[in-house]
Amino acid sequence: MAKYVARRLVLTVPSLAIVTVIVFSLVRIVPGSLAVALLGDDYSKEAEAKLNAELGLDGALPVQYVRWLRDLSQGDLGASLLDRRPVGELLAKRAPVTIQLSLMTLAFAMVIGLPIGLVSALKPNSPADFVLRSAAIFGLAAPSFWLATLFLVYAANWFGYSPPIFYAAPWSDLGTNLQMMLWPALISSVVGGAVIMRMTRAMMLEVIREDYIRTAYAKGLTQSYIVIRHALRNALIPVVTVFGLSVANILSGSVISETVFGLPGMGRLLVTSVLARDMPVVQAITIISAAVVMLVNIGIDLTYAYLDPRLRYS
Amino acid sequence: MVIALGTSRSNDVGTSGNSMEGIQVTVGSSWSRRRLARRTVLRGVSTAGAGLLGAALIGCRGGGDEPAAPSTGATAAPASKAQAAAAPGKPKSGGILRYASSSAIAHFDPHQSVTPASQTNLWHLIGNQLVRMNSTKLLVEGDLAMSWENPDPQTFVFKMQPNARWHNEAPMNGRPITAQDVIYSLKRTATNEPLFVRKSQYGNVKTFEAVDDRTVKLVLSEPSVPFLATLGDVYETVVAKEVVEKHGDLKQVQAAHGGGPFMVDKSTFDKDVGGKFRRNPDYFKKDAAGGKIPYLDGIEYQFIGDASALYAALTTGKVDIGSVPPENEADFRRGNPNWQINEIKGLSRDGILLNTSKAPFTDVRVRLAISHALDRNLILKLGRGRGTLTPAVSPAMEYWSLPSAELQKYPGFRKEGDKAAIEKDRAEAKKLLEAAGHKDGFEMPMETTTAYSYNLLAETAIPQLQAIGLKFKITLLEWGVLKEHEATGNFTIAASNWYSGPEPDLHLYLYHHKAGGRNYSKLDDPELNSLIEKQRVEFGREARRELIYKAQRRQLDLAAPVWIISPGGLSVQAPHVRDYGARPVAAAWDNETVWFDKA
Repeated sequence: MAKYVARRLVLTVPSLAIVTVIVFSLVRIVPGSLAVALLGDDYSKEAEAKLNAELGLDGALPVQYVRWLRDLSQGDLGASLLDRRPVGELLAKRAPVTIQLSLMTLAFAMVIGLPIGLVSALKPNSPADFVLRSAAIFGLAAPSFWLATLFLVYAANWFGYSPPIFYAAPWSDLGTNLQMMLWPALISSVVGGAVIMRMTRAMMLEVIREDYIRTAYAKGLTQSYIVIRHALRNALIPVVTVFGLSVANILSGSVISETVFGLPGMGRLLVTSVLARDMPVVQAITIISAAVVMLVNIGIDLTYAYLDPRLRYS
Repeated sequence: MVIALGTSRSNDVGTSGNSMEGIQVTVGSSWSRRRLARRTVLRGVSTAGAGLLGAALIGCRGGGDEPAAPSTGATAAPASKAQAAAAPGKPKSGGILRYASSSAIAHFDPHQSVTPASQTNLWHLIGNQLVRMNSTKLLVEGDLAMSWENPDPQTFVFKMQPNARWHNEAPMNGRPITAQDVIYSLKRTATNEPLFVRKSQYGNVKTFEAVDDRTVKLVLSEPSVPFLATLGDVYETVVAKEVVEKHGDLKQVQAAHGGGPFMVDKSTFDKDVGGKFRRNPDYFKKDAAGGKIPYLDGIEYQFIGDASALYAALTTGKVDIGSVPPENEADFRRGNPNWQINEIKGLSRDGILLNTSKAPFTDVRVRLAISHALDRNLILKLGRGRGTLTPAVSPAMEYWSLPSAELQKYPGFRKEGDKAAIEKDRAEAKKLLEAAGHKDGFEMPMETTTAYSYNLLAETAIPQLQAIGLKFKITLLEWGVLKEHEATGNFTIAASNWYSGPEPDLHLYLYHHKAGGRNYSKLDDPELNSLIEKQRVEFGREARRELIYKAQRRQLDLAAPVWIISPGGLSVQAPHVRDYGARPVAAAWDNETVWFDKA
């Protein structure tokens, strides 16, 4: 097991290296120049060249890349090109918001998706099943940014309600914090919940037709016992895979939900940094997100063994 | 506050807004936000984002009670007195003003900023300038300066307030703000380094001199009427040398030290999140009755980049001031019947940019054909919803802008619904094209961006141009790329928008003079250059206006850029907010006299 984990961790290194190349290249081939934006009316070719030199954006791209990679390997994420703040400091302030939002979103997705999937599978083709499946398809089809906008505008117009706008950390004002986090987490969880629901339903339908489930019923076990102890556990492996994939979706979705709901997390920082062409910040957030997704995937793989003891790692 | 007036000859000025775009609203890259922005961003909630305190892209005259005329003779309108007179009742102290800013802030160094968000969200609350623009009256007024005079047309001498002091915090510890501080700040702005983006505005200053602790003397190389507007620009914050030396620059909030009406809580402040301000108990200014200002206990602002969230916050009263998109006006009124809603004109201008150095726009007949063929009223109706047809100088500056009665005589600017005139203009446009050798029209891409809803202009203009055989296909660019193309001349035709402050020279010189910083059209017309140069040194108000009128007429004959409309909007404020005007410029310093009429 430990050997497996170590090998997987080592294998993330080349993957991350590839990500660094892609990220570094992408932020530089995006049209538009930070120097032009900063120079405003004082733009001239000479001023642009001088400013690029000041910002460390001169020189060949491979040289810039190696310089950045060297710093990165030493844990130095660089500094914002706009206000010189260390990127690490920026991220340390914003990561808790994104982590909280992601965890809440995942929790809501599971809480919504699993029970509905189970109910739907246990009552296949019933009116309840049709309603729940339709709801899931709507959840898959409806973009979360659209739902968020609808929520904000109509809740304000019809009910005079909008979430708090002045962010409060959970340790300073838990009530305000939860009010701010609840809606974006709920709305962001719709897609993930729908995916989990459909996967749970499909897998449960497959599993409950297996011989061992029939045997369990024949033994006189209760339905709830059979579902929870025998069927669900086996059905969960693909669901857990989907859950892992949801982490990547939630991280990318945080860009939208944090922006729409005014949450000061990494997603919103990414948006403002992309618009401002603050390359070190964009690079750092992207690399960290990639690393998180890779680590979650390793975690998911390890979970398989718990869910199905027949699986062995080698 | 009483300000002794000097004998200035050169107060026919406004302020300048030298931002690259005036204001930046964070318009995200997501489809949703752009869709929303189409109907929302420029029209109201965050039109150009200097933040809701600035309400900059939209806006013109404050409170609607005075024309946007320049000052006459010696002008230094006392801001607090003027504002106090605008609202009934005696100002009360107390309350926290809450607002949401949609403006992205790159950093806080005022002398290196290209957008005013750092000013409206920080420096205008905690700092001071030598002079500044009254953001509702459009008049230059003293701030640290209590008076000024022009001993000769090239010399400005300012007498400073005797009691002005820095906040009582290290490293200044409440020491007086001196003429040396002002000179240091002006010289810093004029630093010959790329990031000091307003240095060129001080290129005509021969000497910066602190005559004594309270006297600032500036000698120009030639007379310049708009120079006072430069000094009153929203970016000209006075900073302390010791702070710059300690921090290296002023990009981070830790370096934000001023002497203004509010003090920032640096421990909670974050440019991407928001911050809190508390009253400066030792502020040197007093109100008309000699009472202490500011009246507010503090200010809280939150950065919200999304227009729908801003609208929701306003509608539900979570913030006290802001703007709403015109299409949401009815809903807003229904839900907030007691809120004050002011219609405001805009200082920004939508226009079609034609590169006169590239064919076919080297030919003035082609440019005029485009101008003639446009039904600007229809563009206004279908696109922005609110706004005013504009010549080169925005109609928000009523005194300087060519009167609408005269403008309506020009092809393309006809009265709304005058179909006969519009058809006649289009026939004329076709003749012009034919004479220019484009009888069958031509095809080419038109660059624009969905940010700030610039695309609305292209989308509504293109079908009209098709009527005379010109086929344009929209090329959507990211906002920064479009601005880069404009700055570098890497475009042929583009639909865009530009903001400048309420000083006619900024609307004329910048965009139409051969040496103008935003002469993206590459215009170089000797007659227009001469008119623009003359108005810059004409101290007589009437005579200057006549020159400015002539320049606008000449610009209409040259049709570069093809100016279309100045977008407008709606400013709203909670019932208890007093002396907060619909602000035409990206300035927030008027908050020193805002008060709450509630227990």
